[in-house]
Amino acid sequence: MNPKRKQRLISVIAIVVGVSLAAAILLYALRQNINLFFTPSQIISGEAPLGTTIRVGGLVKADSVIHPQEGVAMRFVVTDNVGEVTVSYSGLLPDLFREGQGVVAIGVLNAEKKLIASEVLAKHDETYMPPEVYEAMKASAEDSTIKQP
Amino acid sequence: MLANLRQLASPKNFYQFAGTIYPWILFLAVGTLCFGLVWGLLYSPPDYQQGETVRIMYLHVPMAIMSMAAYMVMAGASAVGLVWHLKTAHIVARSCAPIGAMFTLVTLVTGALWGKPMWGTWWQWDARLTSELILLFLYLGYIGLYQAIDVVETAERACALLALVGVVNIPIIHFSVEWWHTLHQGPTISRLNPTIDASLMGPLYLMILAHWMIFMAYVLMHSRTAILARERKTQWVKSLV
Amino acid sequence: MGEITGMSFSSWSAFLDMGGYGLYVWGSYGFALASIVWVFLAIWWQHRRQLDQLRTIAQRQAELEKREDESEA
Repeated sequence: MNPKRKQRLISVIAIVVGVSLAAAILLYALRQNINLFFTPSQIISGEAPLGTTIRVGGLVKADSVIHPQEGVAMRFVVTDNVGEVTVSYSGLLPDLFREGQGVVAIGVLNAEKKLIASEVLAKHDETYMPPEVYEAMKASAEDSTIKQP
Repeated sequence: MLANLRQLASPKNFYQFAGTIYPWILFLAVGTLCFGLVWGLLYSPPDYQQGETVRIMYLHVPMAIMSMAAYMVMAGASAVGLVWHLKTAHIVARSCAPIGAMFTLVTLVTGALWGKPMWGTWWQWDARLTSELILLFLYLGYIGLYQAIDVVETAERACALLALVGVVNIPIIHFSVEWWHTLHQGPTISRLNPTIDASLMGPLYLMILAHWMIFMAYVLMHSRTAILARERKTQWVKSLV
Repeated sequence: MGEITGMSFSSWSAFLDMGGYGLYVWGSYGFALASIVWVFLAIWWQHRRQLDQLRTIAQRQAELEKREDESEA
């Protein structure tokens, strides 16, 4: 390779490496702001501010959804298998909202660290399959748990 | 050897080469696209969680892959153009921009149309969505920069630098869902064991193939126009028209 | 690659309805396909325009040269 081209190649690599380093430092410094939501354990440890709008993300805990009589907000628990946060919400739920599935709730934390949500979004996982396959997998999983001593 | 390659990659040769192969790639693109559309829309099952909306995936995922692949090709061609002062490489890089911008815009629109019924929102400022929006601005910035500079050689070099600077955004888009808490779910097919059933994976891979063909055909077509404009004062273009 | 399963819809209306999500599914397909076609046409027209432009310039130049030849003669 002739020296001029080598020089230009080094410049090109230097630009890409330099910009990558700058971006990495910037993103590392801003990492908490880039996260869309707080996890329940972060809220319990006091990382989330009280009294301003924040987002909480995690799984809807099984058997935790309570629909009281009309006019009263519904409640459910968001968990990350370490901490738990209770969310109260009155409004429309997305079609994918269900127990055991991911959720992002937007609202304000009150003094008891309970989230008064104004909006609830569903967060689904990265698994895709037809309903029959899901039923078959569930059935075989139940089979194997029965067989176990 | 290198001189031979340079001769092969001359705008004149590339114009003729592109003119010969783009109709075939276009033909394959239309074929795979039609096959993929029928398979995805009619002969693939709904998802156990997302029902029929999962069919949006057959467009959203290939468009998203190509929005990033087009940028990688653009940045790679720009680097070759800068280092080896190859006109054809600059022209190919420039032709990636409008097509990549189209892929990015369709990714964002189909994503919003999928997000509204499933997540409950058209848009959130999460890391994946925001970095993809930045990709659209990079493409538009590239196009704008090229048009703003009158001297072709200067425009090419400035745009190549912008393409190289922006390439840092590509890993950010890809890994955003792993590095940060996002509303967007994690990777499905770019992992060791794709978490997608074969009956949905078939049409998805076919549509990814179709989108690669569309990209290649469009870049070849656009490059031909760009070569004519760039070489309009040369003898071979004059004798061509 | 996955095997092709049977037809997923029992009727045209079910196909159009998409389980109640027709607006979103068809909106996505409509926008994507319209974009693919539109970009194709834009590239096609641009090439035609470029060729026309080059031809016009070539013609004008030929005429100029012809006139110069005549005035010299």
